[in-house]
Amino acid sequence: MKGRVRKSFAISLIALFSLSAIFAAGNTEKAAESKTVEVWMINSPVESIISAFDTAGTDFESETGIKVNYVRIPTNDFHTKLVSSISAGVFPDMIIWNSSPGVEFSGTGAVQPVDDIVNEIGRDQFGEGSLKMFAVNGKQLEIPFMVRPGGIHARKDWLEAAGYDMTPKVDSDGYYYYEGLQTWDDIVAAGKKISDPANGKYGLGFAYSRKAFGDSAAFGMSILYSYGASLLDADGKVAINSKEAIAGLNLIKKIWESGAVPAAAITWDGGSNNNFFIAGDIGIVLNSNSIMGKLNDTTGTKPEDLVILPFPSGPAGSYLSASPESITIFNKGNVEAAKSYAKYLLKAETQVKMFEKMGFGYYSPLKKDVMSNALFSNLNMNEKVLMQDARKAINVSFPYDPNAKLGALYSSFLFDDALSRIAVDGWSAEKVAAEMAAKVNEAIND
Amino acid sequence: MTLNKNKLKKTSSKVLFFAVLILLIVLIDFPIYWMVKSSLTSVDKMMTRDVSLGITELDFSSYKNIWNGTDYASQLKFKDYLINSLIVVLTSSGISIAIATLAGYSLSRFKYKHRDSIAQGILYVYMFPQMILTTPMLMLVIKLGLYNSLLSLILVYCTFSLPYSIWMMRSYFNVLPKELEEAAMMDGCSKLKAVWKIMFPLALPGVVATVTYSFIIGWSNVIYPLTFITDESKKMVSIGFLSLISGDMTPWNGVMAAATISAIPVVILFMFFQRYLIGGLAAGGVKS
Amino acid sequence: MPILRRKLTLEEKDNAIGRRFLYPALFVLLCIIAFPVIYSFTLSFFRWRPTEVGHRFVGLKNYFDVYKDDRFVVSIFNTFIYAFVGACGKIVLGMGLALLLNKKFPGRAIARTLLMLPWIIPVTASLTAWNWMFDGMYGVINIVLSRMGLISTYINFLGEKGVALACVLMVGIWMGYPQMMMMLLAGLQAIPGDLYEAAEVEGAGKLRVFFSITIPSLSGVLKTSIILSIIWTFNAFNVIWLLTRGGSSTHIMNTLAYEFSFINMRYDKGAAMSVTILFFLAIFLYIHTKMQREDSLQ
Repeated sequence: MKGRVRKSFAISLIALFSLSAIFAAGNTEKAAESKTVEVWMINSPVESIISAFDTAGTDFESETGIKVNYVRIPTNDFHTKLVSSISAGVFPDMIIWNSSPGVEFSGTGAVQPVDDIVNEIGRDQFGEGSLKMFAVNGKQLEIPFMVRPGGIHARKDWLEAAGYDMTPKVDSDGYYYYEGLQTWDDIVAAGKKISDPANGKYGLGFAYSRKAFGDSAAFGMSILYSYGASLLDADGKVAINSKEAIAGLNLIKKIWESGAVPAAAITWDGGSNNNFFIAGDIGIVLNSNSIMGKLNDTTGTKPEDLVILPFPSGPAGSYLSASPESITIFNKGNVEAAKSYAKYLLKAETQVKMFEKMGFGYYSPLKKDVMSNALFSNLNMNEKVLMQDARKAINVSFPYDPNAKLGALYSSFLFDDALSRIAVDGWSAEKVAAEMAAKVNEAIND
Repeated sequence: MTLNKNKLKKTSSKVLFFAVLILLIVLIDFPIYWMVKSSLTSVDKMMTRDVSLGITELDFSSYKNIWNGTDYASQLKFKDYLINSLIVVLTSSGISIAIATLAGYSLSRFKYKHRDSIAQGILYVYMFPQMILTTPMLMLVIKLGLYNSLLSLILVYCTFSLPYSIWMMRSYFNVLPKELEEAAMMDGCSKLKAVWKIMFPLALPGVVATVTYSFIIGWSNVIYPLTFITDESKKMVSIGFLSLISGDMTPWNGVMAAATISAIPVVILFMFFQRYLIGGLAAGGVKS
Repeated sequence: MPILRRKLTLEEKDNAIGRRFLYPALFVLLCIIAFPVIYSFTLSFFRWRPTEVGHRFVGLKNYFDVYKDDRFVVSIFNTFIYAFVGACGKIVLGMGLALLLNKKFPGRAIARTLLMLPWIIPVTASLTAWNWMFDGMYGVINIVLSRMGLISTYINFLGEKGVALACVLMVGIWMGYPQMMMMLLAGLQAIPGDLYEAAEVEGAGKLRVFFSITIPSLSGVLKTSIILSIIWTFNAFNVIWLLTRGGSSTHIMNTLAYEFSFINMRYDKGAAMSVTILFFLAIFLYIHTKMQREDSLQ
């Protein structure tokens, strides 16, 4: 009797294994389906954005019969995933992302030039500046698509309580600003004023972390470039140890030492500053605009408390590290279908339809014919500021031609690590600058 | 009087013993309690310093979101993750145990040149850092066209389940009396048949222990699914929910709910087979 | 006499057949170990990037690149701290709990399961829980410490240098001790009871019994578990990668190799790092072999 139980147990075990083996084998079979465009994009926390893109996909399918399959990836995973996929040769047909994969992977031969699409639509629709960001050796590798504006999100009520006048003003060039909150120094001063660490309230929520891919880099790079730093000079020599860069790093150090940034910022992930802002414990954060849609009457910060400050400026101007969301097409044998979907996504009517669905904010338009649409004539103050900030966007190679090696350096935490050096290791600006210069030097001579 | 004193001493030492034990258990299991507790907390009560240490509410919405893929979990395919993990872990431990039974039997029962060095070598393989194998295995998997397939994981999971399985099975066969198979051999059974008919059933506790062990280790493996799988529908449960953390906003209660669900299968498995597994762990350690 | 001879030949024949049972296992193990090791070793002398096609011989450049990286020295230091302190912690905690569990008491099975939980729960699950508990804004550890009046401002456990390494170590011990506990418990249960009875008759104190009976009887198990736990801890990856991603000077050699390959996109540097890890591992394995040889000689 006992033996039979054992035997049947063993047999059922083996049956189970072989069954799952068959399953597993079956699972690998499905790969080869054509007539589907696989699109990788960032995973959005906002439902209406997901459905706007989904609708564009289904509309395109009903028009052409080509199916669109979105793969939505969290910011932190995106780069790692892309690296291993590119080496595996199983990349998607199309990537919609703001991190220049086309330029970065231009050396692999997987990226499909898209000059024909850009010329067909008309170069003036995009503006030369944004096109230049994505051209390597005279070939257009990515098409600017929309902008995911980053902005300084602040607590209006806290700033008012600290004595700031929160009525927007307009300068001689027609740009909006708030009195006393225009430069980085102003922001630091404001952050100190509104901090109350004893009660767990902090003025500034800038990530000094290497777990917050995107957030820390954007913060560090924006300050450095607003102070006049650049990675290389006009001759292509390393320039990140310039006195401008050191001044910028000193400001970053000053912000850290001001006590207005919570110590936890060293280990923040991409969502932390949003979470804490929404929970009502932080006064000023730099983030892509995913906060607006998440505020409601039950959150610590109420919708009416949110004000978006025009991006602050440094001695050299105001630059925001944010390359536009772009479309990159990869050559995996499905180029024509991918190209036709790219064209469809770039049509003014498609984009207007998408904006009707997802509103303005998380994404904002970049193409001229979309921007001139009536939809964008009555924006509220915060949205107007975001639109204004979008013009300050630069990428890591600024002010020179895009450089794949510098793009790769950005992705491998050049700026994030510089911030951790300051916050964790307590290094001086000069020492950090020297380390950054060494890394840039190694990368360009590689 | 002395008797009473003795009794008092005995009870007080008993009380002390249980106090120490319970304190240690509370301290050690607190993170797990906190995981479950947080998963039952609603979003607006997560982001606050005003938490109570006890369970104050039972909000199952995060479980619903994770399981059905609604709200913040809309890109998750949690049920797929569970099925994938089951397929990969069961198949790879099945393959390992089949190969390991033979190898363990061979290492335990027969005498040939280099037998002991081979056994030692197998143990060393088990001590290999997975990190070193990752990139070359990734290249191999790509060359074989297995990238993004469960089959790739099934193959590499053998790297850690096979060596230990062999080692455990060998220790099991070592303690089984030799007379049994000799009797079978007299009956005219072939060797392979003897393994299958006599030894395998006798070693069944060992088999169960080994499979349970491989299952637990495989279920929580991180590095291979992290590098070999990018397709959302092929992800393992161990890493599938991590994508919630790196997004624009981390729904910590949802993350904790997902973590709790992912732990349930192994905890159940362990409760069923813990008697065997503990014997097996001991055998693997003591006899080496 | 003839019977014996026949048996001998049968045994030889048997052994030849028995050896064949080993072949499938050897084949699989060779494939999964030899290939990656040779591959890594070879390509550590080549230029090899995911962003480029093909390889180019560069000699020892990758090794120089690794060794001049200032994270390298830190990672070696951390690896050894992590391996030795971690292993000690696991053994001490595992030993203590094994001694508690060695007594017979009602609810022993439940206690055993509860104490095994840290090892059973998937690492990602328990590490996300730890991550959330360590949080510098709303983490429960900070909240409890400040309610007890031990701290006035919140500590960033995973961010402050030194503190981060200590936290990572603590979590590593927490996750790894149950395995040691089970091995030692089995060892304790194998000690014959009459040894203790004899000691009791002699009137030996508890501490003396522990050092003169328990420890010597456990020496074999202890040796194995110490070397095993050192090697396992040496190979740790998950705890550090999932808690700090190597930030705040917590990189160990394995996480650094992963970072080189998949974050800095230098497969070649990752390969050079892997070969370096193998070198250190070989030292441990050599010591292990020596210890075993001594054991078998005794």
